[in-house]
Amino acid sequence: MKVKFSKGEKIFLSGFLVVYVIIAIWNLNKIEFPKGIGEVWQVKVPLPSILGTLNPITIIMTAVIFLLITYMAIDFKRHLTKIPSRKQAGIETVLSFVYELVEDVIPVKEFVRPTFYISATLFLFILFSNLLGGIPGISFGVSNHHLILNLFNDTWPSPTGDLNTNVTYAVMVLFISHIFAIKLKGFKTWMKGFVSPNPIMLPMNIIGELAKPVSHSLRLFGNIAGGGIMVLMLSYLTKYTIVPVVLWGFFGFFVGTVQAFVFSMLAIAYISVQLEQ
Amino acid sequence: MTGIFVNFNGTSILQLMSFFLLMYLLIKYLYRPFLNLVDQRRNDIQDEYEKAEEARKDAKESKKKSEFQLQELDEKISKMYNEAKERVKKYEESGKARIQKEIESTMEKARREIVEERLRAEESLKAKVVTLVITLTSRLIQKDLDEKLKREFLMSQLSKLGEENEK
Repeated sequence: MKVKFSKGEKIFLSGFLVVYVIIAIWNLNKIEFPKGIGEVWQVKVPLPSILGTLNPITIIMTAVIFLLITYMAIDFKRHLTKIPSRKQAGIETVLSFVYELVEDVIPVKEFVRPTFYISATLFLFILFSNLLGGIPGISFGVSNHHLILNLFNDTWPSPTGDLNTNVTYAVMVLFISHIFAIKLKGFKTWMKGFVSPNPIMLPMNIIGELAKPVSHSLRLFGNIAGGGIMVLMLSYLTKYTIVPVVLWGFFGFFVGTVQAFVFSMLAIAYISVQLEQ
Repeated sequence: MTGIFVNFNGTSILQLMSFFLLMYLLIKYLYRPFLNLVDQRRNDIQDEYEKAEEARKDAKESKKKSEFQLQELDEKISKMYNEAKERVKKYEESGKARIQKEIESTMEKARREIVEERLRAEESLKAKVVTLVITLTSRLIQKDLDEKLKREFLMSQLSKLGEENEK
Protein backbone atom coordinates (compact mmCIF):
# COMPACT_ATOMS: atom_id res chain seq x y z
CA MET A 1 0.00 0.00 0.00
CA LYS A 2 1.31 3.41 -0.95
CA VAL A 3 0.48 6.36 1.24
CA LYS A 4 0.69 9.68 -0.51
CA PHE A 5 0.39 12.99 1.25
CA SER A 6 -0.46 16.22 -0.45
CA LYS A 7 1.52 19.37 0.26
CA GLY A 8 -1.00 20.72 2.76
CA GLU A 9 -1.11 17.44 4.64
CA LYS A 10 2.69 17.33 4.83
CA ILE A 11 2.78 20.86 6.24
CA PHE A 12 0.06 20.03 8.76
CA LEU A 13 1.72 16.81 9.91
CA SER A 14 5.18 18.30 10.25
CA GLY A 15 3.76 21.35 12.08
CA PHE A 16 1.85 19.04 14.39
CA LEU A 17 4.97 17.03 15.15
CA VAL A 18 7.08 20.13 15.82
CA VAL A 19 4.51 21.65 18.18
CA TYR A 20 4.08 18.28 19.88
CA VAL A 21 7.80 17.81 20.43
CA ILE A 22 8.23 21.36 21.74
CA ILE A 23 5.42 20.97 24.27
CA ALA A 24 6.66 17.51 25.26
CA ILE A 25 10.17 18.78 25.95
CA TRP A 26 8.80 21.73 27.86
CA ASN A 27 6.70 19.44 30.04
CA LEU A 28 9.37 16.82 30.49
CA ASN A 29 10.26 17.60 34.10
CA LYS A 30 6.73 18.16 35.30
CA ILE A 31 5.12 14.98 33.98
CA GLU A 32 3.55 12.50 36.32
CA PHE A 33 2.83 9.33 34.50
CA PRO A 34 -0.31 7.55 35.60
CA LYS A 35 0.37 5.03 38.32
CA GLY A 36 -2.24 2.56 37.27
CA ILE A 37 -0.50 1.50 34.11
CA GLY A 38 0.43 -2.14 34.27
CA GLU A 39 -2.48 -2.91 36.57
CA VAL A 40 -6.00 -3.88 35.71
CA TRP A 41 -9.27 -3.97 37.57
CA GLN A 42 -10.22 -7.48 38.62
CA VAL A 43 -13.19 -8.89 40.47
CA LYS A 44 -13.33 -12.10 42.40
CA VAL A 45 -16.49 -14.07 41.87
CA PRO A 46 -18.10 -14.44 45.30
CA LEU A 47 -19.77 -17.77 44.58
CA PRO A 48 -17.55 -20.84 44.27
CA SER A 49 -17.19 -21.56 40.56
CA ILE A 50 -14.57 -22.39 37.95
CA LEU A 51 -14.39 -18.74 36.93
CA GLY A 52 -12.33 -17.50 39.87
CA THR A 53 -11.31 -13.92 39.14
CA LEU A 54 -12.62 -11.90 36.22
CA ASN A 55 -11.61 -8.81 34.25
CA PRO A 56 -14.87 -6.80 34.18
CA ILE A 57 -13.76 -4.31 31.50
CA THR A 58 -12.93 -7.07 29.05
CA ILE A 59 -16.25 -8.77 29.72
CA ILE A 60 -18.25 -5.55 29.31
CA MET A 61 -16.50 -4.60 26.08
CA THR A 62 -16.88 -8.12 24.74
CA ALA A 63 -20.59 -7.94 25.47
CA VAL A 64 -20.84 -4.57 23.73
CA ILE A 65 -19.05 -5.84 20.64
CA PHE A 66 -21.09 -9.03 20.76
CA LEU A 67 -24.31 -7.02 20.71
CA LEU A 68 -22.98 -4.72 18.00
CA ILE A 69 -22.03 -7.57 15.67
CA THR A 70 -25.23 -9.47 16.39
CA TYR A 71 -27.30 -6.39 15.66
CA MET A 72 -25.38 -5.92 12.43
CA ALA A 73 -25.98 -9.53 11.45
CA ILE A 74 -29.72 -9.41 12.20
CA ASP A 75 -29.98 -6.13 10.33
CA PHE A 76 -28.14 -7.74 7.43
CA LYS A 77 -30.55 -10.66 7.30
CA ARG A 78 -33.61 -8.46 7.62
CA HIS A 79 -32.69 -6.21 4.72
CA LEU A 80 -31.30 -8.93 2.51
CA THR A 81 -31.90 -8.26 -1.18
CA LYS A 82 -30.49 -9.66 -4.36
CA ILE A 83 -29.45 -6.23 -5.52
CA PRO A 84 -27.47 -5.06 -2.49
CA SER A 85 -27.82 -1.78 -0.67
CA ARG A 86 -24.70 0.09 0.34
CA LYS A 87 -24.53 -1.45 3.81
CA GLN A 88 -25.13 -4.95 2.49
CA ALA A 89 -22.49 -4.51 -0.19
CA GLY A 90 -19.94 -3.47 2.42
CA ILE A 91 -20.60 -6.49 4.63
CA GLU A 92 -20.63 -8.75 1.58
CA THR A 93 -17.26 -7.39 0.48
CA VAL A 94 -15.68 -8.20 3.86
CA LEU A 95 -17.25 -11.66 4.03
CA SER A 96 -16.40 -12.58 0.45
CA PHE A 97 -12.84 -11.39 1.07
CA VAL A 98 -12.52 -13.84 3.98
CA TYR A 99 -14.35 -16.57 2.08
CA GLU A 100 -12.05 -16.33 -0.92
CA LEU A 101 -9.05 -16.48 1.39
CA VAL A 102 -10.40 -19.65 3.00
CA GLU A 103 -11.35 -21.18 -0.34
CA ASP A 104 -7.86 -20.61 -1.72
CA VAL A 105 -5.99 -21.96 1.29
CA ILE A 106 -8.08 -24.89 2.55
CA PRO A 107 -7.39 -27.97 0.43
CA VAL A 108 -10.46 -30.03 1.49
CA LYS A 109 -13.77 -28.77 0.24
CA GLU A 110 -15.94 -29.99 3.11
CA PHE A 111 -13.90 -28.02 5.63
CA VAL A 112 -14.15 -24.74 3.75
CA ARG A 113 -17.40 -23.69 5.36
CA PRO A 114 -16.53 -24.47 9.01
CA THR A 115 -13.17 -22.77 8.59
CA PHE A 116 -14.91 -19.80 7.05
CA TYR A 117 -17.29 -19.60 10.00
CA ILE A 118 -14.43 -19.65 12.51
CA SER A 119 -12.09 -17.30 10.70
CA ALA A 120 -14.80 -14.80 9.76
CA THR A 121 -16.08 -14.67 13.33
CA LEU A 122 -12.53 -14.16 14.57
CA PHE A 123 -11.93 -11.49 11.99
CA LEU A 124 -15.13 -9.58 12.72
CA PHE A 125 -14.74 -9.74 16.50
CA ILE A 126 -11.08 -8.73 16.50
CA LEU A 127 -11.63 -6.06 13.89
CA PHE A 128 -14.45 -4.46 15.86
CA SER A 129 -12.58 -4.60 19.14
CA ASN A 130 -9.41 -3.17 17.57
CA LEU A 131 -11.32 -0.38 15.87
CA LEU A 132 -12.79 0.59 19.24
CA GLY A 133 -9.18 1.03 20.34
CA GLY A 134 -8.91 3.98 17.96
CA ILE A 135 -11.90 5.90 19.25
CA PRO A 136 -11.78 8.01 22.42
CA GLY A 137 -14.03 6.61 25.09
CA ILE A 138 -14.66 5.71 28.70
CA SER A 139 -12.51 3.26 30.58
CA PHE A 140 -11.72 2.26 34.13
CA GLY A 141 -8.22 2.40 35.47
CA VAL A 142 -6.73 1.40 38.80
CA SER A 143 -4.46 3.50 40.97
CA ASN A 144 -3.38 2.60 44.49
CA HIS A 145 -6.12 0.01 44.72
CA HIS A 146 -8.72 2.61 43.83
CA LEU A 147 -10.87 2.65 40.75
CA ILE A 148 -10.41 5.63 38.42
CA LEU A 149 -12.89 6.59 35.74
CA ASN A 150 -11.17 7.82 32.59
CA LEU A 151 -13.50 10.02 30.57
CA PHE A 152 -12.36 10.42 26.98
CA ASN A 153 -8.68 10.81 27.82
CA ASP A 154 -8.00 7.37 26.45
CA THR A 155 -9.51 5.15 23.79
CA TRP A 156 -12.10 2.51 24.51
CA PRO A 157 -10.39 -0.50 26.09
CA SER A 158 -10.46 -3.29 23.56
CA PRO A 159 -10.94 -6.92 24.60
CA THR A 160 -7.99 -7.92 22.43
CA GLY A 161 -5.76 -5.86 24.72
CA ASP A 162 -6.40 -8.50 27.36
CA LEU A 163 -4.29 -11.64 27.14
CA ASN A 164 -7.27 -13.82 28.17
CA THR A 165 -9.06 -13.21 24.88
CA ASN A 166 -6.05 -13.79 22.68
CA VAL A 167 -4.77 -16.90 24.40
CA THR A 168 -8.26 -18.39 24.41
CA TYR A 169 -8.73 -17.80 20.73
CA ALA A 170 -5.26 -19.03 19.79
CA VAL A 171 -5.62 -22.23 21.81
CA MET A 172 -9.09 -22.71 20.41
CA VAL A 173 -7.74 -22.43 16.86
CA LEU A 174 -5.06 -25.01 17.72
CA PHE A 175 -7.64 -27.42 19.11
CA ILE A 176 -9.99 -26.90 16.17
CA SER A 177 -7.21 -27.51 13.65
CA HIS A 178 -6.32 -30.81 15.33
CA ILE A 179 -9.97 -31.84 15.60
CA PHE A 180 -10.37 -31.21 11.88
CA ALA A 181 -7.20 -33.20 11.20
CA ILE A 182 -8.48 -36.16 13.23
CA LYS A 183 -11.82 -35.97 11.45
CA LEU A 184 -10.18 -35.96 8.05
CA LYS A 185 -7.30 -38.40 8.48
CA GLY A 186 -8.35 -40.60 11.32
CA PHE A 187 -6.67 -40.89 14.70
CA LYS A 188 -3.79 -43.15 13.65
CA THR A 189 -2.66 -41.10 10.70
CA TRP A 190 -2.91 -37.96 12.82
CA MET A 191 -0.69 -39.53 15.49
CA LYS A 192 1.78 -40.57 12.81
CA GLY A 193 2.11 -36.92 11.87
CA PHE A 194 3.91 -36.28 15.16
CA VAL A 195 6.58 -38.94 14.59
CA SER A 196 7.23 -38.10 10.96
CA PRO A 197 9.66 -38.07 9.34
CA ASN A 198 11.47 -39.67 12.29
CA PRO A 199 10.51 -40.58 15.88
CA ILE A 200 13.36 -38.36 17.05
CA MET A 201 11.37 -35.39 15.81
CA LEU A 202 8.53 -36.02 18.29
CA PRO A 203 9.57 -33.39 20.87
CA MET A 204 10.29 -30.91 18.09
CA ASN A 205 6.86 -31.42 16.64
CA ILE A 206 5.18 -31.02 20.01
CA ILE A 207 7.15 -27.86 20.77
CA GLY A 208 6.28 -26.54 17.33
CA GLU A 209 2.59 -27.12 17.96
CA LEU A 210 2.76 -25.47 21.38
CA ALA A 211 4.67 -22.49 20.00
CA LYS A 212 1.88 -21.78 17.56
CA PRO A 213 -0.72 -20.44 20.02
CA VAL A 214 1.96 -18.56 21.98
CA SER A 215 3.15 -16.57 18.98
CA HIS A 216 -0.38 -16.34 17.65
CA SER A 217 -1.80 -14.80 20.81
CA LEU A 218 1.16 -12.67 21.88
CA ARG A 219 1.41 -11.02 18.46
CA LEU A 220 -2.09 -9.58 18.74
CA PHE A 221 -1.82 -8.84 22.44
CA GLY A 222 1.48 -7.00 22.08
CA ASN A 223 0.29 -4.89 19.21
CA ILE A 224 -2.98 -3.79 20.77
CA ALA A 225 -1.98 -3.47 24.42
CA GLY A 226 1.41 -1.96 23.60
CA GLY A 227 -0.16 0.49 21.16
CA GLY A 228 -2.70 1.51 23.78
CA ILE A 229 -0.05 2.14 26.46
CA MET A 230 2.16 4.01 24.04
CA VAL A 231 -0.65 6.30 22.98
CA LEU A 232 -1.52 6.92 26.62
CA MET A 233 2.10 7.81 27.42
CA LEU A 234 2.32 10.13 24.44
CA SER A 235 -0.89 11.83 25.55
CA TYR A 236 0.53 12.35 29.04
CA LEU A 237 3.73 13.82 27.58
CA THR A 238 1.82 16.91 26.54
CA LYS A 239 -0.72 16.71 29.38
CA TYR A 240 -3.48 16.52 26.79
CA THR A 241 -2.77 20.00 25.45
CA ILE A 242 -2.24 18.26 22.16
CA VAL A 243 -3.93 14.94 21.66
CA PRO A 244 -2.05 12.66 19.25
CA VAL A 245 -5.10 11.85 17.19
CA VAL A 246 -2.89 10.68 14.36
CA LEU A 247 -1.35 8.03 16.60
CA TRP A 248 -4.73 6.95 17.91
CA GLY A 249 -5.84 6.54 14.34
CA PHE A 250 -2.66 4.69 13.44
CA PHE A 251 -2.81 2.21 16.32
CA GLY A 252 -6.56 1.86 16.33
CA PHE A 253 -7.43 1.66 12.69
CA PHE A 254 -4.33 0.76 10.74
CA VAL A 255 -2.57 -1.62 13.12
CA GLY A 256 -5.94 -2.90 14.36
CA THR A 257 -7.14 -3.85 10.88
CA VAL A 258 -3.83 -5.39 9.93
CA GLN A 259 -3.65 -7.43 13.15
CA ALA A 260 -7.24 -8.62 12.78
CA PHE A 261 -6.42 -9.77 9.26
CA VAL A 262 -3.19 -11.41 10.39
CA PHE A 263 -4.87 -13.23 13.26
CA SER A 264 -7.65 -14.72 11.12
CA MET A 265 -5.20 -15.43 8.28
CA LEU A 266 -2.93 -17.35 10.66
CA ALA A 267 -5.92 -19.26 11.99
CA ILE A 268 -6.76 -20.31 8.44
CA ALA A 269 -3.13 -21.20 7.78
CA TYR A 270 -2.84 -23.36 10.92
CA ILE A 271 -6.02 -25.22 10.05
CA SER A 272 -4.93 -25.73 6.44
CA VAL A 273 -1.52 -27.03 7.55
CA GLN A 274 -3.25 -29.70 9.61
CA LEU A 275 -5.58 -30.59 6.74
CA GLU A 276 -2.80 -31.19 4.24
CA GLN A 277 -2.22 -34.85 3.45
CA MET B 1 -9.14 -5.68 43.50
CA THR B 2 -6.26 -5.15 41.14
CA GLY B 3 -4.15 -7.54 39.21
CA ILE B 4 -1.11 -7.32 37.01
CA PHE B 5 -1.43 -6.35 33.40
CA VAL B 6 -0.63 -9.75 31.93
CA ASN B 7 -2.98 -12.25 33.49
CA PHE B 8 -4.86 -15.38 32.71
CA ASN B 9 -8.00 -16.20 34.64
CA GLY B 10 -11.67 -17.07 34.41
CA THR B 11 -12.32 -14.41 31.80
CA SER B 12 -10.97 -16.78 29.18
CA ILE B 13 -13.82 -19.22 29.78
CA LEU B 14 -16.35 -16.46 29.26
CA GLN B 15 -14.52 -15.36 26.13
CA LEU B 16 -14.61 -18.87 24.74
CA MET B 17 -18.33 -19.17 25.47
CA SER B 18 -19.05 -15.79 23.98
CA PHE B 19 -17.05 -16.71 20.89
CA PHE B 20 -19.06 -19.85 20.22
CA LEU B 21 -22.33 -18.08 20.96
CA LEU B 22 -21.32 -15.30 18.59
CA MET B 23 -20.33 -17.83 15.95
CA TYR B 24 -23.67 -19.60 16.29
CA LEU B 25 -25.60 -16.35 15.93
CA LEU B 26 -23.49 -15.19 13.02
CA ILE B 27 -23.87 -18.51 11.22
CA LYS B 28 -27.61 -18.20 11.66
CA TYR B 29 -28.00 -14.56 10.72
CA LEU B 30 -24.99 -13.64 8.62
CA TYR B 31 -23.02 -16.47 7.05
CA ARG B 32 -25.76 -18.83 5.89
CA PRO B 33 -27.90 -16.07 4.33
CA PHE B 34 -24.78 -14.57 2.78
CA LEU B 35 -23.56 -17.85 1.26
CA ASN B 36 -27.04 -18.79 0.09
CA LEU B 37 -27.44 -15.39 -1.46
CA VAL B 38 -24.11 -15.67 -3.24
CA ASP B 39 -24.99 -19.14 -4.57
CA GLN B 40 -28.41 -17.98 -5.66
CA ARG B 41 -26.95 -14.94 -7.32
CA ARG B 42 -24.40 -17.07 -9.14
CA ASN B 43 -27.09 -19.46 -10.38
CA ASP B 44 -29.30 -16.59 -11.47
CA ILE B 45 -26.47 -14.95 -13.33
CA GLN B 46 -25.61 -18.24 -15.02
CA ASP B 47 -29.24 -18.74 -16.07
CA GLU B 48 -29.45 -15.22 -17.35
CA TYR B 49 -26.21 -15.69 -19.22
CA GLU B 50 -27.44 -18.87 -20.87
CA LYS B 51 -30.69 -17.19 -21.79
CA ALA B 52 -28.82 -14.26 -23.23
CA GLU B 53 -26.62 -16.65 -25.22
CA GLU B 54 -29.67 -18.38 -26.65
CA ALA B 55 -31.31 -15.10 -27.46
CA ARG B 56 -28.14 -14.00 -29.19
CA LYS B 57 -28.09 -17.16 -31.27
CA ASP B 58 -31.74 -16.67 -32.23
CA ALA B 59 -31.06 -13.11 -33.12
CA LYS B 60 -28.15 -14.17 -35.31
CA GLU B 61 -30.29 -16.70 -37.15
CA SER B 62 -33.13 -14.30 -37.68
CA LYS B 63 -30.65 -11.72 -38.85
CA LYS B 64 -29.29 -14.15 -41.42
CA LYS B 65 -32.83 -14.98 -42.52
CA SER B 66 -33.83 -11.40 -42.82
CA GLU B 67 -30.66 -10.60 -44.72
CA PHE B 68 -31.43 -13.40 -47.16
CA GLN B 69 -34.97 -12.12 -47.58
CA LEU B 70 -33.69 -8.63 -48.06
CA GLN B 71 -31.37 -9.84 -50.79
CA GLU B 72 -34.22 -11.61 -52.52
CA LEU B 73 -36.32 -8.53 -52.30
CA ASP B 74 -33.49 -6.46 -53.70
CA GLU B 75 -33.16 -8.81 -56.64
CA LYS B 76 -36.89 -8.68 -57.26
CA ILE B 77 -36.93 -4.93 -57.11
CA SER B 78 -34.03 -4.62 -59.51
CA LYS B 79 -35.70 -7.05 -61.88
CA MET B 80 -38.94 -5.14 -61.81
CA TYR B 81 -37.10 -1.91 -62.29
CA ASN B 82 -35.33 -3.22 -65.35
CA GLU B 83 -38.58 -4.54 -66.78
CA ALA B 84 -40.26 -1.24 -66.20
CA LYS B 85 -37.38 0.53 -67.85
CA GLU B 86 -37.59 -1.69 -70.90
CA ARG B 87 -41.32 -1.26 -71.11
CA VAL B 88 -40.96 2.48 -70.93
CA LYS B 89 -38.32 2.34 -73.64
CA LYS B 90 -40.55 0.24 -75.87
CA TYR B 91 -43.48 2.46 -75.24
CA GLU B 92 -41.45 5.53 -76.05
CA GLU B 93 -40.14 3.98 -79.25
CA SER B 94 -43.57 2.89 -80.39
CA GLY B 95 -44.97 6.30 -79.62
CA LYS B 96 -42.24 7.95 -81.60
CA ALA B 97 -42.87 5.68 -84.55
CA ARG B 98 -46.61 6.31 -84.43
CA ILE B 99 -46.14 10.06 -84.26
CA GLN B 100 -43.72 9.87 -87.17
CA LYS B 101 -46.22 7.89 -89.13
CA GLU B 102 -48.99 10.32 -88.33
CA ILE B 103 -46.84 13.22 -89.32
CA GLU B 104 -45.92 11.54 -92.52
CA SER B 105 -49.49 10.60 -93.34
CA THR B 106 -50.76 14.11 -92.62
CA MET B 107 -47.95 15.53 -94.77
CA GLU B 108 -48.87 13.18 -97.55
CA LYS B 109 -52.50 14.15 -97.23
CA ALA B 110 -51.67 17.81 -97.21
CA ARG B 111 -49.45 17.43 -100.26
CA ARG B 112 -52.16 15.57 -102.10
CA GLU B 113 -54.71 18.20 -101.22
CA ILE B 114 -52.39 20.91 -102.41
CA VAL B 115 -51.94 19.19 -105.73
CA GLU B 116 -55.65 18.67 -106.09
CA GLU B 117 -56.33 22.25 -105.21
CA ARG B 118 -53.85 23.43 -107.74
CA LEU B 119 -55.38 21.27 -110.39
CA ARG B 120 -58.82 22.48 -109.51
CA ALA B 121 -57.67 26.10 -109.56
CA GLU B 122 -55.97 25.65 -112.88
CA GLU B 123 -59.08 24.11 -114.30
CA SER B 124 -61.29 26.87 -112.98
CA LEU B 125 -58.81 29.44 -114.32
CA LYS B 126 -58.84 27.79 -117.68
CA ALA B 127 -62.63 27.83 -117.69
CA LYS B 128 -62.67 31.50 -116.66
CA VAL B 129 -60.14 32.43 -119.32
CA VAL B 130 -62.10 30.58 -121.96
CA THR B 131 -65.33 32.24 -120.99
CA LEU B 132 -63.54 35.59 -120.84
CA VAL B 133 -62.06 35.12 -124.26
CA ILE B 134 -65.40 34.05 -125.58
CA THR B 135 -67.16 37.04 -124.06
CA LEU B 136 -64.40 39.38 -125.27
CA THR B 137 -64.49 38.11 -128.74
CA SER B 138 -68.25 38.22 -128.73
CA ARG B 139 -68.16 41.80 -127.46
CA LEU B 140 -65.50 42.63 -130.01
CA ILE B 141 -67.65 41.31 -132.64
CA GLN B 142 -70.77 42.85 -131.26
CA LYS B 143 -69.54 46.29 -130.42
CA ASP B 144 -68.30 48.52 -133.11
CA LEU B 145 -65.20 50.06 -131.75
CA ASP B 146 -62.14 51.57 -133.21
CA GLU B 147 -58.88 49.78 -132.99
CA LYS B 148 -57.51 51.98 -130.25
CA LEU B 149 -60.40 51.43 -128.00
CA LYS B 150 -60.41 47.81 -128.83
CA ARG B 151 -56.77 47.51 -127.78
CA GLU B 152 -57.14 49.58 -124.58
CA PHE B 153 -60.14 47.66 -123.53
CA LEU B 154 -58.43 44.39 -124.28
CA MET B 155 -55.28 45.40 -122.35
CA SER B 156 -57.23 46.53 -119.30
CA GLN B 157 -59.19 43.37 -119.29
CA LEU B 158 -56.06 41.30 -119.65
CA SER B 159 -54.30 43.14 -116.80
CA LYS B 160 -57.28 42.51 -114.56
CA LEU B 161 -57.12 38.93 -115.49
CA GLY B 162 -53.45 38.87 -114.66
CA GLU B 163 -54.08 40.40 -111.23
CA GLU B 164 -56.74 37.87 -110.52
CA ASN B 165 -54.49 35.09 -111.54
CA GLU B 166 -51.75 36.41 -109.31
CA LYS B 167 -54.12 36.42 -106.42
